[in-house]
Amino acid sequence: MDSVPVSRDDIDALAQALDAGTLPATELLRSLVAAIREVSGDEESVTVNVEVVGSLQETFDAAFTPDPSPGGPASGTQVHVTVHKIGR
Amino acid sequence: MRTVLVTMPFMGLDRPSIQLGLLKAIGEEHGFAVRTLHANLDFAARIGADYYRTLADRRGPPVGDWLFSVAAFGAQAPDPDGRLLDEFAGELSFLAGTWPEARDRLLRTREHDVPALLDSLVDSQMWDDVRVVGFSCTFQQNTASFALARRLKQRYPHLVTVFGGANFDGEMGLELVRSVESIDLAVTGEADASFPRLLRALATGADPATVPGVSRRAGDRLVSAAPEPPDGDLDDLPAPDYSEYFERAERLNLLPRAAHREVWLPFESARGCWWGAKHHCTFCGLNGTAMRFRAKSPQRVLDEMAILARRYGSFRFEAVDNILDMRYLKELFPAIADSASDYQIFYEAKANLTRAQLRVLARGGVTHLQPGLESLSSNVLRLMDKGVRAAQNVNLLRWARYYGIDVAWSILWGFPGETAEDYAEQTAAASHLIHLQPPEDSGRIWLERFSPLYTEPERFGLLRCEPECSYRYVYPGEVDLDRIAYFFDYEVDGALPESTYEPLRRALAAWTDAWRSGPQPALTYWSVPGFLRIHDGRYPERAGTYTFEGPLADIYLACTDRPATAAAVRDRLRLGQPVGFVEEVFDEFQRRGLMFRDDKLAVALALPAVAGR
Repeated sequence: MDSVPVSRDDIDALAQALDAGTLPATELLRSLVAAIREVSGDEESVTVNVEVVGSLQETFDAAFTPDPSPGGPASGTQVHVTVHKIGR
Repeated sequence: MRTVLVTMPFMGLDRPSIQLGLLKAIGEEHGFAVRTLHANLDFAARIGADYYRTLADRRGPPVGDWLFSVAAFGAQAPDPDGRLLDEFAGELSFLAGTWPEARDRLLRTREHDVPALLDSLVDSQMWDDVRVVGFSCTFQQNTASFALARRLKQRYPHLVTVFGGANFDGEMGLELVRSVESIDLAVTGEADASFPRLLRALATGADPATVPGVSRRAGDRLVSAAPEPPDGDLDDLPAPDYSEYFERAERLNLLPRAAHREVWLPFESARGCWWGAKHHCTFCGLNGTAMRFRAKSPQRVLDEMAILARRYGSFRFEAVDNILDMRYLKELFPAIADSASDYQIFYEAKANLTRAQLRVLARGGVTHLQPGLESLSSNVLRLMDKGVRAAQNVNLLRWARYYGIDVAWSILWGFPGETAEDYAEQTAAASHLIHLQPPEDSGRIWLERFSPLYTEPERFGLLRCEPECSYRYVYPGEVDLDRIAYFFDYEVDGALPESTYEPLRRALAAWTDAWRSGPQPALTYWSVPGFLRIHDGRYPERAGTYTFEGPLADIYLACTDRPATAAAVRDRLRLGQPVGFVEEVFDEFQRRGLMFRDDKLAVALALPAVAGR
């Protein structure tokens, strides 16, 4: 897992660059910007943790123990980005 | 001046009539000699209790009224040949045996048992010193009451017949007085005050039609005094007198003395509907002219239950109220629990009861509840102006099961504005709810007089509205069916085809099968903060245990007491993840049948494995 401090200015700059159309993978980056902004709110800076986690479906499958016999298909992994506020 | 109050078929036979019991007690309080006659019991004893129940307890074509129509109207009766039986053969298939057998039995009942009942009632010695005979009529009691009144007036011309009850509410009562010869007087509306005043008028020779709510014929016209709005204090009413019911039922071998304790004693703690006074459920025709809510004080209810339990030896009580007074949750049921009274109580209630409130009810003796759920679709509930969401309905079913409360409920359809998706969603949800009590019944709404659907046809897009067609096999042509009908046939603009409901009907049948066959399905959980195990035993072939830790466990547990939104759960748990994450967790719980989703709301479906919390 990687932890990256990100300031509001960084996010605003990233958003402007996206609007200018100079960056690739715009859908991915817009999604990241939106997620970080949703969580950061009025905070000046946040820490973005990037981690590889199992999908929810995989987590639920793993959480289940059948009474008579094991089973249940697993699905692929996904990259899950979590954003934590920095405490003051 | 003696008075006899009569309840005729097809009142249910397993409990006394509160209408009779209360009016007898009121009459005697005012110094009049009043007796009651549960003549419905005589008919049940004559035709067999099970057959009687089959006829009395079923909604559908008015076979009960049809059975007494010839006796009530003589040559004017519209269906001496029994055409109703052929026209509605499909809807009468609930009767035992082959259709020819069932048809023959109904005709035999009409031609032999009905006259024999009336003969035996009229021939009894009880009428010699009687001046007034009162009939209480609700649903299918009209023609049986008209038939006995007709016979009595032929034998005892001095008798005055008085009719009342829900079937005489509003213009129905006025039209029946106008058109039915065996009716001398009718009381419209509540009779607590008007009944003793009417008896006083008759005793003193005054015109009874000067008493508020009383009507009589005068040649071709009606003389009546408008009913007064009900404003008395219910605490002032006496406890009902059910003595004759128990004596008669025992004498007719319908109720052994040892079984008295199994009778559900009707009691009244409130009238009207506090929800209906603000938001009248669109399909509901109850409380036609008396919606205003009034309730007895908690202490008065406690006293009355104690009186009735001691007097009749039964600890089972059936509230006739249409809606629970929420004040009782704080002042009545805790007092019953504290008194250690071994009551079993039935109540009707609004469905938005919380877990804590259901616990109070259970500890206060409520074992049976009719919460008027009506649907598991919030859109349909909105269309019927129920003031409750589907998630709340499901939550009530959950905690009612946990606290051991039997729930009587139905799923209704046919509401103007509903969509096929509303029923597809309910069909999908039903398979996850089999560990909860299924509906007793399901089907299209009946159009009832006094309901908003009836009174505001343009608002709801009703294209046609006319008296339910079976009435014409019961009442003679001179009776204006538009004015006496309670049920109506109708067509709605944009109605969904019947096939829309078939998948839901099948899903509900499967739910009922799962609930009734073998051990009841279970979905239970054990938890400590941050750790959760859910055992899913609803379908044996897929049974197993989920184990969750951390946020997943906390999110689920945050939705166990009551429905919650993802945002509320995130805020309550102070989760670092966005609302979208909680929504995704909700989705996954729902996909596995562990949660019920209702737009933004989610409610856990599992119940605590440990009882009594």
